[in-house]
Parts: sequence; C-alpha cells; structure tokens
Amino acid sequence: MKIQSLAVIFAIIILPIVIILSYFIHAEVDTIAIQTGYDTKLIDSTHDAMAALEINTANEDLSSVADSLRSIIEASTNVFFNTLATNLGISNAGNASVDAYVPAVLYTLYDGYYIYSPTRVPEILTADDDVVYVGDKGVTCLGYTTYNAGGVEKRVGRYKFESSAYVKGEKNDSTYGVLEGYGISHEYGQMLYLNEDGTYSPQVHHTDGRTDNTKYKQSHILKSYMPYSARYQGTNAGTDAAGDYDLTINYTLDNYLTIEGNIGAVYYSKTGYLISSNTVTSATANGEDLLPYNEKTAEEMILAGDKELSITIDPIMENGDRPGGIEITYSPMEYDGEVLSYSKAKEILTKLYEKINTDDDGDGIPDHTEDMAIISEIQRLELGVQQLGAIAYYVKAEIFSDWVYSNLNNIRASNVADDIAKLNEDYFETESKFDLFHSFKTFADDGVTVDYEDTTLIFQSDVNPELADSAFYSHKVNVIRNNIQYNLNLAISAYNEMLQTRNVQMPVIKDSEWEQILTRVSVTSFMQGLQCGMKVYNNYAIASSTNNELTMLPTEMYYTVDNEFNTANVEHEYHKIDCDNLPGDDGTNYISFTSKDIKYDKIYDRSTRLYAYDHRNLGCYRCAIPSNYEKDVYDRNGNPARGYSDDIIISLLSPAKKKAYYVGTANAKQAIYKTNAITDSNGFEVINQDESTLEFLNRDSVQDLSANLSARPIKEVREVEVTLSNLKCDNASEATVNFTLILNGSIETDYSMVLNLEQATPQTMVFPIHITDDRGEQTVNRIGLKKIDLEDRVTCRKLNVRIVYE
Amino acid sequence: MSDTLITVVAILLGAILMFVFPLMSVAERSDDMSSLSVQTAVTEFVDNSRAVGKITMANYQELVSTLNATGNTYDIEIEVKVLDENVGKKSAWTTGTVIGENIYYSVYTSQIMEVLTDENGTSSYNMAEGDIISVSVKNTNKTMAQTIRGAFYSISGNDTYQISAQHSGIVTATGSN
Repeated sequence: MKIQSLAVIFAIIILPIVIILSYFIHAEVDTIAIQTGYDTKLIDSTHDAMAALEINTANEDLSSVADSLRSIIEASTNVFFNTLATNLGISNAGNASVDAYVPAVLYTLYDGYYIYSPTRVPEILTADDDVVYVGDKGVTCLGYTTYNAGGVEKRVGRYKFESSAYVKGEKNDSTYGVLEGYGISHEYGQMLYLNEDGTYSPQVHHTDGRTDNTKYKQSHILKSYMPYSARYQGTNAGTDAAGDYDLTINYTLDNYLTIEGNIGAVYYSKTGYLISSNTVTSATANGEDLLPYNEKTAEEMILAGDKELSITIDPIMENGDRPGGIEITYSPMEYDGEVLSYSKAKEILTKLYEKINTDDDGDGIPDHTEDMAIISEIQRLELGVQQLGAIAYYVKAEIFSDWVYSNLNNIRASNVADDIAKLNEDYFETESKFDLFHSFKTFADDGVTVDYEDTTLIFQSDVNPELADSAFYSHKVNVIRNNIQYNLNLAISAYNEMLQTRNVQMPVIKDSEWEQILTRVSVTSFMQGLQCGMKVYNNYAIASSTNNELTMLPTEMYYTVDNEFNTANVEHEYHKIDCDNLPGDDGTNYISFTSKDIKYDKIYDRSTRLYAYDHRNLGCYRCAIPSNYEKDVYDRNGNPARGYSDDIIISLLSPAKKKAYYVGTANAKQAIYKTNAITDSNGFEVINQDESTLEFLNRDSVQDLSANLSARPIKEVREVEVTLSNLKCDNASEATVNFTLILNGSIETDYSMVLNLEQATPQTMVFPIHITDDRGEQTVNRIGLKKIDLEDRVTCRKLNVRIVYE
Repeated sequence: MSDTLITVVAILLGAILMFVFPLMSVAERSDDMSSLSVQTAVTEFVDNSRAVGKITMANYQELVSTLNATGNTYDIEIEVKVLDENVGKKSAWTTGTVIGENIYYSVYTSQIMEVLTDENGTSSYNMAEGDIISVSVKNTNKTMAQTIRGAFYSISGNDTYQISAQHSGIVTATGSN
C-alpha cells in the first residue's frame, strides 16, 4: 500500500475521533456551566430566603402574635420562589413553573423545623369567596355511596352544586330531611370536597378503581411545625423516679429542653436549660436560698427586681476546669423613685432610647442627641437588666438541671421508642426502610431481638452539656438529624410518588453541612429535575443565619465597657470578648449585645420616624468586621500561645471578661423566644377522683383525702389543689368556710382557703407548699383537709385532688 | 528537479498534517478536559466556602490536588471582599433609609494563606454573611498545546494562559468567629 493511502486511512480514522471528542467535551463543558449557573441561582435564592427570615424575625415580637413564625416562614418561601423564578428568567407571575422542580425547602429553627413541600390536597368547594356547606342553597344530595374504611363499610353522601342557585348565607330547608332519609344526617353543615367525577362529598375517601373518589390536586404547603423530639420509654428513669416512664423530650439547637410525659403516676411538664450540676453553687434573694423553689417561683422572685440578689456560678469550661466561683449580684434599681422590675426596666429603656432618637425637625430622619445624662441612665439600666436576666437564667437552669439529674439520670440513648417510624409505614414505605432512630438501636431480621444498642447515659451531671464532646450533645444532634432526615426523606419520596413522570430523590447531605444545619437556624432548599445539558440537575443549597432573634451564638456576641456603651465616641468600640483590644481591668463591667442588634434595628415606628438606629458604638476592625484575629489560644501541646481559633476559649479570659461572657450569654438565652415553652415547669399527680361526700362535723375536723399517693418527698411538693362542690352548712346564716391542709397528719400549711357555702358549682383551692427543713425529707403518705373556723357541720362533694410537684 | 522540491514540500506538509495537526488537536482536547475539571474544582471550592462561611485548609488542599492532577501548574488567586457594615452613628444622618455605608474592602491570597497556615490556628479563614469571595485560577506552565502552537505562531507576553477558571459569589453564612 502506498504511503498516501495510509495517510488517508489515518486521517479518516483520526478525524472523526477528534471531532466527536471535541464535541463531547464541549457538551460536557456546557453542562457544567449550566449546572454551575443553577447552583449559583439556587444558593442566591436560598440566601434571599434567609435574609427575608432574618429581617422579619428582627422586627417581630414573636411571643405576642400567635403563629407569627409560620407566616414569617411563608413569606420567606415566597421570597425564595420569586428570586429563583427571576434568576431563571421567569417573571414573578410564572412561579408555578419553578415550583415543580423544588421537592422541598427545609427550615431548621431553634426548637423544631418546617418542611415546605408539594403535597396532595383535596379541593374544597367555594363560591363567592366563601366555603359552601351541605345545606346551603344550590347544594343537592344525589344519594350516597359506600366505601371501605379499614374493613368497615361507611356511607358517604354525593352532592351536586349549581352556582346559579347559590345565594350566600341562605339555606335550603329541605336538605336535612333528605339526608335523614339516607341515614347521613351527620353530614349536614359539613364542607364539601370535589370528587373525580365532578360530584362533591363531605369526606375524603378512596376505594380502588372507582370514579367517585376524592380528587386531589398537588400544591406546595408548609407542613406543620415538627419539634426536635424523641420519645423515651422504660422503667426507673432516675434515682428519684421509680416506675415505668413514657416521656417526650424536645431538644433545641442549644441546651434548652422541654420534657413532657409520665414517670410513674406523675405527669411532668418540665422546661428549662440543662447545665452541669453545681454550676450555681449558691443563690440567694435577700439572704433566702432560692434553689429549693420551683423554677417558675424563683424566676418570679428574681424578675420582680425588688430584692438583693447574689449568686455564685462555677461552670465547667471547655478545658474541663471550673473558673473557681464567679459572683453575680444585683441590687434593686430605681428610676424616678420607683423600684424597677425586669419588664418595667425594659420598658423604661425603650422610652430612653426614643428620647435620644426623636425627630424634632420633622424630616423623617431621627436627630442625633448626644445627651450624656440620658445615655448614662441607659448604661445603668442596661447593665442592671443584663445582670438580672443572667441571674434568672442560672437559677432556673440549676433548679431544672438538678431535677433532671435526679429524675432522668438512668435514661440511655437506646431507650428511644422505635414506634414512631412504624406509624407512617402504611402510607409511604421508603425503599431503604429507613428506621427513624436506627443509630440508637437496631433489630435483627425477626424485628424483636436487639442487634445493637447505644447504652450511653444521656444526662450526666458532671459534664457540661453545652460542650460538643458531651454525651448529651452528641445524642441531641443524632436525634435532631435522624428526625429531620426521616421526615425530609418522607416528604421528598411522597413527591416522587405523586410525580410518576420523573424521579426525585433526597441527596446525601455532607457531615460538615449537617454540623452547620444543627448549630444555626438554616434554610436548606432542594432543586431537582431541571434539564441541564447532558444530565438532570439535582442539588441543594444551605444558607445559615447568625443574625436572628431565634438563637443565641456565643461567638456572635459583642461587648463594650459599661460606661462606653452606646456613645458616639470613635474610641468606644465594641469587640468580641476575646479580642485584645477590648479594654478593662478586673473591676470592669461589660454590656453585651448580639450581632443581630447591630444588623437589624429594633426601634421602628412608621408613624413617627422612618428609622432609628440605637447602637452608636463602632465595630472593632480587628474582631468585629473581619473576624480573623490572633488571640490567646492553646497550642497543640496544650500550652498557651498566640493563634487563631473558631471558638471562644473561656479559660484564657481575664476574670472580668469571664464574668462578662457568662452574664452576656445567659442574658441572651433568657431573652430567646421558645415555641415549645410551657409556662409552668412542674409535674402533677391526680390522687383522688372518686366524688365521695365529705362531712366535717365540728371545728378542726379533718377529712382524709389521700388515695394512690406515689409517696414522693414533701420538699418536692409545690402545691396541692382540691376541688369541692355542693358545700352546705347546717347553719344557714354562715356564708363562707375556711380550710387548711395537713400533710402526714402533723404538717399544717401556712395558708387557709375560703370557700363559699351554698354554692353548687365546683370551687378549687390551691395550697402552696414550700417546706425546706427536715420535715421535707418525709414522704407524703397522708393528706388531710381541715376545717378551721365553723363549729357547725359542713358537707360537700369531693371532685378532684391533685398534687403538683416541683 | 522541481519534482524533488515538490516531494520535499509534500513530505513536510504530509508530516504536519499527519502528525502535528492530530497531536495539536488531541493536546487541545486534553486542555479542554483540564479546564473542565479546573472549572468544576474552582466552583466547588467557592460554593463550599461561601455556604459554610469559611475557607478551610482541607478544601483548599482538595482544590490544589485536583488542579495538580491535570499535570499543569497553576496560580490560584483568592480574594475576599469583606463587607464593612460599621454603622455607628457618628454625626447627624443625611438619609433616613440607609442602614450603613456597606463598603467592601479586599483581602487577598497571601493574607488568607497566612491565617490558613498559622500553626496555632484552626486552618480556616472565616467570612461573614454578605462578604464576597472570588477565586481565579490560571495555568503558569506551557501546556503541550501551547508549545506546539508556539512552534507555528507565537503569542507574545507573559500573561498568555490556556486553562483558566473563575467563580465568585456572596457568602451565605457566617463562619464561627
């Protein structure tokens, strides 16, 4: 063969390869470019959603508006879809075309999370913007069909609706009789759902292969708030808690807990911050020990602000040492001759801030008044309020934690109840058979034998639960992560089931990203199914927030010296607590605030001014703005050195700064709004409910109320509630009767309660009990009700007796 | 005589067409492939950093090793635009609707590397939400395609590069202190 032929053959072979390769690589480059574009758009939209959430929470008083958090999240999802649609080149009106590609948006908040995802919802019949009910004009019953509900035949009515006959608010009088005829009169007045065949029924129902089934449409909805919770079951929860227990513990991003459920016969609803035991070594109000009180009572005593308070705290630092006692004191503050309570002081502070931000010239811009008399008042009150808040936090936390360590100290990670996952099995079975809490306990194939269990004790009194290496922290993180993963997977696979045409799957989220989700309020958005070049897009984006009112991050707290707070002097900067430039010696007091306070302002009053910014201090260019600064750290061998650190190293701070750190973080935690909080933190036991008649024959006559007592120490009893009815006295001229309570036959309470005679309706007496001396060690075995004033015979019906425990 | 000349020219042309052109073509495809993986690595690095709020040594090293795997040497330039929201109220306000000045100032590769490589450090450079991070990567050696191309026609100047990638974005989370 000639060399020319060889050359031609060579060219014929090589050229197509080169051309195809080049085409392929360019296509791949385009794919990557489109994918990167989508990534950026998704991250930016998620960031916008987070920004909307931050701004909305910053100016909202979450505790005053019920469910305001939900509307804030809904607003945030709107922002997300608007930005995404705009980014993808679709105008706002076309949001619906983006919706389909977003299988879920996850909002992880302080004590629970929301999932915004597509769901099948029935269509409700409406006319003239009003819901139409069975019985309204225009609705006619066509008869009924039967359907199968879990093996039971049920009747469900079928209705026809004519909008021409509908008149708002008017009823069709004959409907009820017709319904009675069919035996479905209970449907009268119900809402109507659209069926597949165009008729309506007042119930959602489904039977295979029928056309009168409920018709569903798909729409994105914000699912109900899910707390970070786990249920625990077992026996002997703790040293002081015998018997079977069945508890639900709600966790949060920090060390706040809500515990609800039964231990033995007592139903507990406890809530508070968990700290290591002996963090508060002493706490007194006017010399009286605060720790034996209930959290709620102690908090009320502290926040009243009228007592000399003094507490000593000794928390465990990150290196395992304790600082050796930090004293926080508070003396009652006065303003205009009035002793201030915590809430009153905050109110006065708001007024003072307004005074230095008035708009006298009416240009809509607040005038800047540097009135040092007012500013020093602000400094004095702000410092006092922070000390008071911190004292309340520590005392409450210590009381709560002591309860936890004596009542729940036997609970292990493997006590997590595994039935939560099973509840959902009937509806959506995910392919992986993902078990909700498989990391704590796994079963062999028979489903009964335990293969592996994590027997770590969750509540260990000698470690600081706030530190990441504590058993509590790792268990909490596991619970939250499993909980979110399970429900998110469920939401996405439910959407997959609905879609049929293409697959949506939950991507695997990396550990470092979980860490981020589990320490901060975050938005995680998922986007799938968009065509991008040679493949189908599937990715997610996370945006976290550090500037919001929902959480407190110690690293996002700033401090100023108390007499420099809120002054416009350029030398009076705010700093992070471990910045070298934060001045002060051992006697210095510091005022703290969160980064959110600087980013989003609080005082905002549309009617009188546009905007008012009440932080005049400048940020430090070393720590506050760029946040990479050399400071005191421990080197690899554990010796003090200079370097960089992500965390605040408390043990290397000066004593005054240590105190400022503990006061600042505690005060900020005290101020966080908690969705799952319960007002009272106690347990109760119903001991007597037999409705028998009690008869008090003469003066000082005692009737026994005790039955089924679970015999807990008297010192734990917070109050006893007795409900009586039908009080009658032989002497008709008497109008009231006085009772007191006697515990164990000898301990009489200091309080007496007055009840009206000749009153048939129930009356409840609450006897507060606070016994801290030796008598408190006895267990409650008898409760007696003593009539203390009348000589004549009194009878009544006993309805209910409850013991409330601390 | 002229036949011999034409034969020599034909052989030369043939050699170029048969060997150099395919080689150049394949070398260029190889560069395309490299720039693809470089672009992916840079995007991943920037997106990871801005989602977490910190540049970590681990991520940086991952970027470097992906780049090295292409067989070329690269110059990595990182720039963080730090949002200066220092909004203290100094004197009378001039407008009622602006929060602060919102000026950016920049921090460059060497300053960032100083923090990343500090021996008592956490090997991470922290950014705050609202900062902007941008990374650009260029090759510093001559790739084979550049060498071959250089033999035929040369492009002068030091700044000629074949493989480059840049990506930037706003930081969406504050890395812890």
